[in-house]
Amino acid sequence: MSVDYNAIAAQCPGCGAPLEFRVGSSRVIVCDHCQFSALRTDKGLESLGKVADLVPTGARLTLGARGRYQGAGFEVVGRVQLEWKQGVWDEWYATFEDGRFGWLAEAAGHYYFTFAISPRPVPRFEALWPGQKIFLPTTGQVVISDLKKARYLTARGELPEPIPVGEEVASADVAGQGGVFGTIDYADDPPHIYLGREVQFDDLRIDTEGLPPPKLQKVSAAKLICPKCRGPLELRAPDQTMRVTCPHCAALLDTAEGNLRILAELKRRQLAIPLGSKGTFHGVEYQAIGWLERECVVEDVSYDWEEFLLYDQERAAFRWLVCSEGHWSLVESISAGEVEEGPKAARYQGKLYKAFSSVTARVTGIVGELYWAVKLDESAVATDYVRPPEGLSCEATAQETNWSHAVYLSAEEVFQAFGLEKPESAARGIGSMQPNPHAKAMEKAGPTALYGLLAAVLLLMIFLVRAGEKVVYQAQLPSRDVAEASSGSGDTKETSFDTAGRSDFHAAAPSEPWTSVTGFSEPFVIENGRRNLEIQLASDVNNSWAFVSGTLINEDTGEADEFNLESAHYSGTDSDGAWTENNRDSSTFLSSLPAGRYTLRTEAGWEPGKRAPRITLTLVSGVARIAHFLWVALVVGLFPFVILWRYGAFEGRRWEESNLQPSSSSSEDDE
Amino acid sequence: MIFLYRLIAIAAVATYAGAGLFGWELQSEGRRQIPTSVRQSPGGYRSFHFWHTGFHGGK
Repeated sequence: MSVDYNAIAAQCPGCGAPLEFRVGSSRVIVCDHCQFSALRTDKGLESLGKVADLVPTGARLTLGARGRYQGAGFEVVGRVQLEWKQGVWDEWYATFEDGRFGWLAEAAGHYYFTFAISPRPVPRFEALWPGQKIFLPTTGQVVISDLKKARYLTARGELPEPIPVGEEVASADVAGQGGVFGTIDYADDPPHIYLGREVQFDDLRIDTEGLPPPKLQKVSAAKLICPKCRGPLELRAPDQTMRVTCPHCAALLDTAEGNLRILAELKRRQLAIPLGSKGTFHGVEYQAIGWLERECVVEDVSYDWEEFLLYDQERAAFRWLVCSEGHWSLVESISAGEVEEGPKAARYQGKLYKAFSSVTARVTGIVGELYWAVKLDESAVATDYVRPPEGLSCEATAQETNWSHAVYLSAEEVFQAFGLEKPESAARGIGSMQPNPHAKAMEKAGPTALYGLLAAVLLLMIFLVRAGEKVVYQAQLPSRDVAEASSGSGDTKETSFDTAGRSDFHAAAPSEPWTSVTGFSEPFVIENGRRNLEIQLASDVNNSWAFVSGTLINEDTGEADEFNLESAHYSGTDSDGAWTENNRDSSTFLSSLPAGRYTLRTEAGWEPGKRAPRITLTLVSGVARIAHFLWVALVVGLFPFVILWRYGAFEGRRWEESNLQPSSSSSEDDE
Repeated sequence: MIFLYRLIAIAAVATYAGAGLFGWELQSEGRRQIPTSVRQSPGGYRSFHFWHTGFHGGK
């Protein structure tokens, strides 16, 4: 049978059925009827032999599907399946209306569109390691997300080149900022480089109208019988599952190719969320299909946690629900290229996450279905970063680096989502991603405190500038005459002195414990009204006391403001040395005095039998009050300070659990 | 709680502004009216509430 190279129609070399190359660049076609593959050459169609059946992967794409990517329409015309140790994935061959073609990878609900670029020098496969940063043209710096050796399984439809079925090829996946994704395919030398982006299925606007729906191989319970206990098994994600445990005997089984094989005998587990339960998070319904228990050891102390595998059947995607010490989080895998990792923090989507812990996590328990070939004691270095209520986790092995993003959930949210009753046991300690209960109060009170204090400072400055302190009256009490009259007096007698024509001296009667002088000042004027008035008292008392009791009388209105001031000073020596007590100076304030003429009535008193002290009384108008500012600062700042203190105490308890915090590392250094 | 705090903070700043602008003093002992006849009578008016105990300390 001879076929012109340019011909687009031919006959299958296996069964004679008509074959049609719909794409000019295609060189290989697989017959829908007999699964024979044929290579188009200049001499006609060359048989490449029969290819294997497709492995059910739960793919949502199908041959003939049309979609759009970056504004251009494409059609899916070919399919290749590859297998590696973690499972099988699909590579869909897509041709664009503008003549380009690319590969759309579909793996566990993730989609990556890549296009071949011209070969460039890249490091050897053996020289790469997960997490390594390399530079690629057009994308710049990318990070190696995984290194794998995969085997071509089978193909369908049209392909640009023959696929080496059964052959194992090495490849490295890379990821970069903005969803950049790529694969370095080491099948040839120099390696082929495919670069593109991770895409969302919905963004591709896939149209499968008129096409048969994707064939999902629904494995029935009857088909799967536990080879150990003969009990029936039901796979909830049959197209994705690689490992399952028997619910009857807890045997770990390999589900490869639909045949169950016993891998290990595990312990039976009682799970807080029964597998098969369905729960809705953020509007998406998930089914709990698998469970892992993992453990790490830090400073000889063992810590364990649980991870429930959630399956979104509609999108064929997975999430993890992690429970550690009663603290829950919903975890989603993210591209390694989206994360900028530093020694003490990692940045993802513009947010900084602080490094919290780094441990070697080991699998210690398995129940249900899992989408990769998990085994007991499988371990990875897990580094957690936190930015409550979110977190990042990096799990690194020799082959791959997986990043995930987590959001904290309360136990109530989790059990409510599954319609289950929350267990009695409460969360222990503080979760690494647990929201600080004082954070919201801080957020709300902080600006109020800031603006309040700023306003108070501004007012203080204004008041200091406009204060215009002015001494409106000053006098010595008692007058010299009275002082002389009183010196040495022990008798009860009265005398007069003249400050404003009215005064009297009153020596202590036996029933009164002081000697006093009462007098009136000459009228004086307070010019600026609606200002406060500070009354300052200073005296020369020594091992004695004095007081002034006064009344400031507005001569115009008759309104009187009263005040009392004390002065005392005691000193001496004892076995502890010299001491002094009390204060000779004191002051008080009168509120908002109107402008006008005033008279001051004073009664100055002192200890009977003592020399009359020299008392200076000074009246100052318009005094700026620093004390008022301090009171306002206290009132405005106290509540936020208390919240801040409680916030800090909570964070302190959180970071006590960290093995990457500076204090723990320094203490280790000390040891 | 936050609402109450905001209310108190605003009241504190407003009071401070009022005190600074109008010379208000919280510790002031109050103002009262004294009749002219009393004011002009020597010895007819005495402070009415201060009573000194005579003891001020000493170690």
